[in-house]
Amino acid sequence: MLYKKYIKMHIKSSLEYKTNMFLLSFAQILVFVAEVLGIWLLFQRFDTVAGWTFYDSLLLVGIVMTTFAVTETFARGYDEFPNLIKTGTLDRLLVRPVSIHYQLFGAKIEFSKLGRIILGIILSVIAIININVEWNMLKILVLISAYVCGCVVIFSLMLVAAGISVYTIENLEFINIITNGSKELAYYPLNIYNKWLTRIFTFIIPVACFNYLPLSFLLGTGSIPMWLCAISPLLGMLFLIPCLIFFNCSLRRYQGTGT
Amino acid sequence: MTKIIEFKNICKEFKIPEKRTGKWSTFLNFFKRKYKIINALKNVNFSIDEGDIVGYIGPNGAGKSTTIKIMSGILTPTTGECIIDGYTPWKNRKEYVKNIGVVFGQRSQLWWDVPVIDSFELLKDIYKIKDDEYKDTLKLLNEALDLEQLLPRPLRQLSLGQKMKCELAASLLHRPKILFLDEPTIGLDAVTKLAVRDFIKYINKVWHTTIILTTHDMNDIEALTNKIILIGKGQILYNGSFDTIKNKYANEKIIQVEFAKPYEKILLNGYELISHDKNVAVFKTKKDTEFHTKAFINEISKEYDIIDFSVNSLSVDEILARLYKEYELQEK
Amino acid sequence: MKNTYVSIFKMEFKGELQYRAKAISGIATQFFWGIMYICLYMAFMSSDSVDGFTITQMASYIWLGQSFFALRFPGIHKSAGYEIANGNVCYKFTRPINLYNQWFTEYLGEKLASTLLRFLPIIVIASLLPTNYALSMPVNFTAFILFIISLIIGGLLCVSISMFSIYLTFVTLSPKGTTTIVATIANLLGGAIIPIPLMPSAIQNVLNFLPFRYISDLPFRIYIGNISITHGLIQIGISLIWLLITIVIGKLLIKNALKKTIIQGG
Repeated sequence: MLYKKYIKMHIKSSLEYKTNMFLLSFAQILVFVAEVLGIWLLFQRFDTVAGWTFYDSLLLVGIVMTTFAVTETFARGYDEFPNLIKTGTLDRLLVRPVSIHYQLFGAKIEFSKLGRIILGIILSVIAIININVEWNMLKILVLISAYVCGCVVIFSLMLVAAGISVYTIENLEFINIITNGSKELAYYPLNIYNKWLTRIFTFIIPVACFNYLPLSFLLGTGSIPMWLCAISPLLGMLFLIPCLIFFNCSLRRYQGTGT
Repeated sequence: MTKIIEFKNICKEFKIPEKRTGKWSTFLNFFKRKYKIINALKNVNFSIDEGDIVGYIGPNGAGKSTTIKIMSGILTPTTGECIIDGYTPWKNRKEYVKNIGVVFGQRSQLWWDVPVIDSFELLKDIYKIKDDEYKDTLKLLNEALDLEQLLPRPLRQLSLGQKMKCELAASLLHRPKILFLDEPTIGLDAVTKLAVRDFIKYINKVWHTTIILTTHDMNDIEALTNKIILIGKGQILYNGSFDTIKNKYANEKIIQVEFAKPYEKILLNGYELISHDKNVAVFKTKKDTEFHTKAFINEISKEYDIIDFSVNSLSVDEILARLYKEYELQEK
Repeated sequence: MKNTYVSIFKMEFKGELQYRAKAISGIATQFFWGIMYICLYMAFMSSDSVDGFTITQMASYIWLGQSFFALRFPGIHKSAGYEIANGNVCYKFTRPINLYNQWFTEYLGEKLASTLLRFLPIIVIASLLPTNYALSMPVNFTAFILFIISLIIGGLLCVSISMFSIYLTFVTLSPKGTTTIVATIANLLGGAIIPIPLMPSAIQNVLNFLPFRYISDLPFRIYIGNISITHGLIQIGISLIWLLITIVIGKLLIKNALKKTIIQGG
C-alpha cells in the first residue's frame, strides 16, 4: 500500500539524522513535561479548580496531549502547507495522479512527536486509574469517542490553517490563537473561563466536545444535560465538514492564483 | 500529424501587492498595501504536434513558468481554453496528470535523505506502474542515463548534474506522453549538459514523447530542435522554425581586424565600427548588405596597414539578444 | 565598529516591519492568551489574594508578560541557527566582526523590533479593561523607573541565555531541538508558564538562585509592587551579576565552538 511506503520512507529519512531526531523527541517531551509540571504546581498550591481535582484535570490533559500528538504526527503535511507552497512542493503534488489529501498525509510524518503520544497515553492511564468514576460500557464508549473527536477537531483546525495560508503566507501566528490556544485552554475545565471564551470554544470551535463535556459526563458534574454531554463528541466531529469544504475551496483558489 | 497541445486565447491575471519605495515606504507598506493587476498571459494561442520537441523561450518574467504551470494543471487560467491530449489540464486532474511528466529545473521531486531508488519505488506506487513495465522502463533509463551507481545513494550526496539525471528519470518512470522541462540544463557542467541533451533526443525518438522545454541556453535549442515559440510580456511573439530566425541574421558579420600599428581614428566606408583599442578594431556589416571578403580587404587596405582579420557570424546567444531587442523585451 | 552593530540592528528592525500580518495577529494572539490566563488563575485563586499576590496584581503580571512577550523567550536568530546547522557559518568567518557580538546584536534587534511593534497596543487595550482584568498603573514612580531598568537587563539576559542555544546548536546541529529545550527550561523556571508568585513557596525559594526569573519575573513584580523598592534594588544587582556571568560563559563557549568548527573546516 502506498501509505505504508510513505511511512517507510519517513522512517528512513528520520534515521539519517539520529541526533536531531533524538533531540527533537527529547525537546518535545520536555515541553510536555514542563506543561504538566506547571499544572501540577498550580494544583499543589490550590488543590482544586471549580471542583475539579488534579487527576480530573490530568485526564483533560491526557486527551488533549494524545490527540494533538497523534494529529501532529500523521497530518504534519497540513501543518507544513505554507512551506509546501513556498518551496513549490505543492505544485509537485498537483502533477501526480493521487488525491491531494492522500499525498498530504504522506508528505510528512513527524516521528519526533511519537514520544508525546506515548506520554499522553501514560498520563491518560494515570488519570483514569485515579479519578473517581464508576465505569460502564457507555462511559468507556464516550471516553473513546472523545479521543477520536479530538483528533478530528484538531485535524479540522489544521485544514483551516492550511487553507488560510493560501491567502496569506504570513498569517501563521494568528493560527496559534486557535490551535495552541485551544490546547492550553483545554487543559482545564472549560467552565472556569469567561462565558464568551466558553461559547467560542464550544459552538464555533468544538474543543469542549472532546474534553470538558464528555468528562463532565464521566464525572457526573456540571449543569449541562447528561445525554448531551454523552453525544457531544459525535456532534464535535461534524466540525470536519465545513473545514474540509474551506480547504478544498482554498486549494482551488491556489490553482487560480499560484504563488 | 495530430495536435497534442492546443492553447486557445489563454489569459492569466495575477494580483500582486505593490511595494512603495522611499523614505517611509517600509512603514507605509506596513499599514496599507496597494495591489496591482499583472497580465501574465495575454491571449496566448499555439498548438504543438505529437512527437515534437519545442523550445519555449523568452526573457525572465515573460510568462514561461505560468504557461508550463497551466499546461501541467497546477494553475487555472483566467480565461481561455486549453486541450492537451483530449483533457483540460485543470479539470479531471488525476486522470490527466498520468500522461505528463514535469521537471522543474531547480526543484527536486526526490526525497533528500533516502536512496534515489526508494523515491523511484514510491513513484511507482503513486503512478500505479506495473512491475514488469517498471522494470523495463528502469532498465532503459538506467542505460541511457548511466544511473547504476547513483540509485543506491541518497539525493543529498549527489552533484547537481547527477541530481538532474535522476530527476529526468523520475519524471519518465510512468512513460508520460508529454514531458515538460523547465530549464533542465541550468547550472550543469558541459559534459552533463551534452548527456542531458542526448537523453532528451533519445527519449523523444524511442517513446515518441512530446517535449516542451524552457531554457535560457540557446545551445539547448540548437542541439534539440528547430521549433521555437518565443514569448515576451505575456504574448507569443514568434512561433516557427529557429532556422528562419537564424537566416534573418545570417548576413550580419562581425569582423575583427588587427593593424600593424596603432591608429588614432578609424573610419571605414560601409562598415560600422563597434570597438577600437590601439591596433585592434571590431566592425559590423551594415544592415542589408552582404559581406565580401575581397571588397572588405580592398576597402580597408586603402588607408590602413593590416596584419590579420577574422569574420564571424552572430552566435545563437547574440541572435536571441538581437531578437529580444527587436521586440523591446530587454529589461531596462 | 559601533556603526556595524547599529546597521545590523536597523536591518533586523526593517525585516520585522515587513511582516504586517504577523505583527497584527501576534497582538491578537497575546491578547487572547492574556484573557485566557487571567480567567484561569482567577478560577484557581478564588479568594482575593494568595500570600499578598492579589488578583489585580496577577492581571497586571499577565498583561506585562503578554506585552513584552518577545523579551521573555530565549530562542535563536532564524538565520544563525540555519547557518550553523548547514555549515554555511564558515562564510561568516571571512567578515571582520566578532560573531558572538553579531549574533547578540542580531537577536537583540529582532526581539526589540518585535516588542516595540507590539507592546503598545496590548498595554493600551489591557489598561482599558474592567478592573479585575485590567493592567494597572505601576505602584509608584520609583517602581516604574526600576521596572524599566530591570526590564532592560532582563531583555539582555534573555539574549545572553539565547546565546547558549547557539552554542548547543554548534554541538548538536539541531537548532530546533536545542532552542526548544533551552526555551522550555527558561520558561518554566522563569515564571513564563506559571507565574512564580502562584508557585509553592519552597519552589519559589529555589528559583531565586537561578538566573531565569530575572528575565521577566523581577521587572513585572517590581511594577506591580509585589517586590519592595529595596528588595528590587538588591535583585537588580543580582540580575546584573547573572547578566555578566552568562555573557562571559557564552562568549567562552562560542569561541570554543568556533575554534572547533574552523579546525574541522565547517
